[in-house]
Amino acid sequence: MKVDIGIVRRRRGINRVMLALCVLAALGSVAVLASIMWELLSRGVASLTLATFLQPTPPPGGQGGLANAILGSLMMTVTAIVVATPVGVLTGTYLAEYARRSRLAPVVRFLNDSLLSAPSIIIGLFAYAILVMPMGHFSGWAGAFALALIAVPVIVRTTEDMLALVPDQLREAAAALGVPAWRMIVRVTWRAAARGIVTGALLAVARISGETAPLLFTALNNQFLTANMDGPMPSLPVAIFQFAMSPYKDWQQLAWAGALLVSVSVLLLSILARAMAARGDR
Amino acid sequence: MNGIVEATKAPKIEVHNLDFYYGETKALKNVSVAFKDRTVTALIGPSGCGKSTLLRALNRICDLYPGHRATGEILLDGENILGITSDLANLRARVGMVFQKPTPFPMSIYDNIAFPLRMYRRLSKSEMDEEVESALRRAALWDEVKDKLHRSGLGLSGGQQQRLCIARAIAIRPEVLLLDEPASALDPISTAQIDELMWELRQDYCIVVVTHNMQQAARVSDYVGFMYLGEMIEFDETATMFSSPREKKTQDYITGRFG
Repeated sequence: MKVDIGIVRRRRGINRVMLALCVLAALGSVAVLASIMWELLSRGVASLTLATFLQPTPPPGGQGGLANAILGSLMMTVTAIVVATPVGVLTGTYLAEYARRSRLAPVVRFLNDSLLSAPSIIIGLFAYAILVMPMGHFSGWAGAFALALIAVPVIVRTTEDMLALVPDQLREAAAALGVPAWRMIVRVTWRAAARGIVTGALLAVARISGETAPLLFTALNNQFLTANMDGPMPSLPVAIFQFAMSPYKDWQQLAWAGALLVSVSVLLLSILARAMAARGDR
Repeated sequence: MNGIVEATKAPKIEVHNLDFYYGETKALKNVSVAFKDRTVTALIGPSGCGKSTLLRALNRICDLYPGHRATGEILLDGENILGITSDLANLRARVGMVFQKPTPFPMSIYDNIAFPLRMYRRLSKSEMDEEVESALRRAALWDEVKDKLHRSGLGLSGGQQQRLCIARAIAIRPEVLLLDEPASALDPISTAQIDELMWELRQDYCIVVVTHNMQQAARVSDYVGFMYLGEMIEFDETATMFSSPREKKTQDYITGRFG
């Protein structure tokens, strides 16, 4: 066969153009991310001191840190994830294992996907309406509740996806040995999908640790170091929001430090999640 | 290798007029066949002929999926297993199954055998150790894994994984062992090991094996059933089937003229 050199040249040319466009787009998005990280690092590291971790937020002009916001964020995030993980994993398991022939499953899946993409401010308003209003005051519990509502759909989705990757032959093999469904799930499919499920929970933590809007309506804020989840509670994202908007130089500095803290912890969690997922692929 | 087939061996499973449907599709048409105790029966036939479907009806593993439905009779020691409405676990304890792809559970070699065994029997640690060893010995795997019982079953080679699955199946002491192309994903040496194993296990079990491999069928089985388009075309002793089959279709398939 005689090859038409014109066609080949044209094809190579198009290939080069496409490659250039892809590289350009990739470089562009990486550059934006890198500049954000650079800005955070250069401004945040300077204001990150031991006091940031040890002292509560100061009044304008005073000395202080972010200890109360860090503690509040930790407590609400941990509470939220402790509640959301079992609910999410069990729902995902229901969808992937039990509900295959059920007509309820598509409905649950659709609602979960809607919740997954719901703006977080709406979740905040919801928590405000059903917890803050009846209780009559803002509280850490309400904040944790709102965060849990955001975490659940993430965990449901990843759990279902990860269980769907477990080959049906494994389920058949267990059934062929007379293993009842619930034991098959606990001992075989959960175990086969364990890394993926844990990764989902970690990603949910990463997602909620940066949420601001739902906390504004629920936990609000607090200038003092507090472990009382029944009252208003400070958090890193809300502290960043408050301080970054302020006209005071030292508050702005603390906002940078907080932003760096949140970004680095989310980054570390993502890396951890990825590392675990990669080991799971083996 | 096909010695004398004793006529005295009783039928373990009798299938009468079995029809099987995947939704609207009829995959088995009026199949009647008997599998004798302590013999190996091979089911052969081209892909899609229904041999795996027949196998999967014998322990009702097909019940896992909606829309799969069998009518007719499958008698295990005279009891119609299609009539069982509860406790399929009991049936599956009596009718074990090994699949085409090795399916070790994501746990240690030891636990792969101990986990299903715990469903049925309360055993002390030392009794369990003995059961695990005996199952692995019978599956001709003991010598290869005795020093790494607590390592993951996923770390074994394909052939070893398949023998682990056989060990796991026989550990719960079934009466019937169903093997669905147990060697098709394995290399020739592993295949030979599985064949030998089947021949050993034949002394205690009723074995039904689905295979695409004519040599394997000829080597390991006492009886052969040839299936085509959902029907049991011919069923006879292995020697007869391979030397002088009644049906032309059987002859054509065995000699590789189609399939």
